[in-house]
Amino acid sequence: MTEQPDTPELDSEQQKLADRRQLLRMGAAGLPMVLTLKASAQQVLISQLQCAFVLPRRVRILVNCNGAAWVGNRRLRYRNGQGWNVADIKAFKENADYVFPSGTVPSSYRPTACPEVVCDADDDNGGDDNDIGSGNGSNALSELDALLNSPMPSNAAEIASFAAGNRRSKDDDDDDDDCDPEWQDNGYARYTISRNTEIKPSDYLGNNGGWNPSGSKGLYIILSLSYANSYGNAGSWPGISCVVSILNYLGS
Amino acid sequence: MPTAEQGVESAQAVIEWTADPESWMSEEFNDTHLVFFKPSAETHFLNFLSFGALELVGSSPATNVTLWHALLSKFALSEQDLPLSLVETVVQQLDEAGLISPVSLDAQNS
Repeated sequence: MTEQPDTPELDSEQQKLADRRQLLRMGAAGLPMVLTLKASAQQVLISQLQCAFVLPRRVRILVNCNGAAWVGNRRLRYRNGQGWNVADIKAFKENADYVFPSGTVPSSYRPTACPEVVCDADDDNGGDDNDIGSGNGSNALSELDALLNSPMPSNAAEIASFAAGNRRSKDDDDDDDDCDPEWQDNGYARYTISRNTEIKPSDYLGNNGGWNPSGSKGLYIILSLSYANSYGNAGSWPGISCVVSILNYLGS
Repeated sequence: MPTAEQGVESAQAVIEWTADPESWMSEEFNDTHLVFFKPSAETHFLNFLSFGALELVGSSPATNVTLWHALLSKFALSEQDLPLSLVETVVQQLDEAGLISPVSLDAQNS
């Protein structure tokens, strides 16, 4: 028997070599030799969770013992042994860009004691001033969860005054006129975040999808979540769109 | 006297490239290779030449020139078919994709 030459296979090999030579000519002409799939599931995950934002200016956050917070940029003088400058506290609160009601800030960020001399009124927060003792931070996360799961406040007095320029009224009867001491001991904690600080919210996400805030930037995230809980993507809170995009991804 | 550009070119020429064969999984479809790169979780389409370069570099570190010669031999191509400049382009694209990396100086000195 005569063995037939395997011409079809030879043709196939020749065709393959010809195709490869053609491909090489195209490669020499600029055809990419490596293509990467950019629209993978991994990419989607990264784009939604990896957003970051930069604070356009310095942020100071003043927190009282009830967990209310004022966000602004004014000075807040503090003297060891004497405490906070009352006029600074008053001016900061009156001119704050954003105000958050009592209970917003977890106890781990609150001052360890309420003021011994009450020179300002926190009653305008609608909070129960006396039911929170010294914070030890042990229940910060559960408080945060409760905050995020709570319905939007219905009482106008409880709603944080978010809009820039929406200053508190000068005549809001906060008893400051009776405040004699120039310096007030305890009662407030101050956090400062420098201008141009980059905050990446996903840094504060735990493995289970919950939030794990820490430090000043973690406090900013907490306030951002509170803002988003009430106002979503609206307004001018720096970084809110980034935080909301993550919340949307998490299905919150 | 060599120019700075020539110096860079000569430095590029002696760089050895390496790859970890354990870092990818691949499947061939009609002389095209679908490569899933585990470290980045990205998927790449490689043609026969770029995949051949990846395999060769993965089996043994190689410079552009040694890789060029190995590819000519592997695919039975002539220098006209496969100029060195195209191999350099492939290496650059594989590097940009993170599939290969230069051998570290520490590794070279050890």
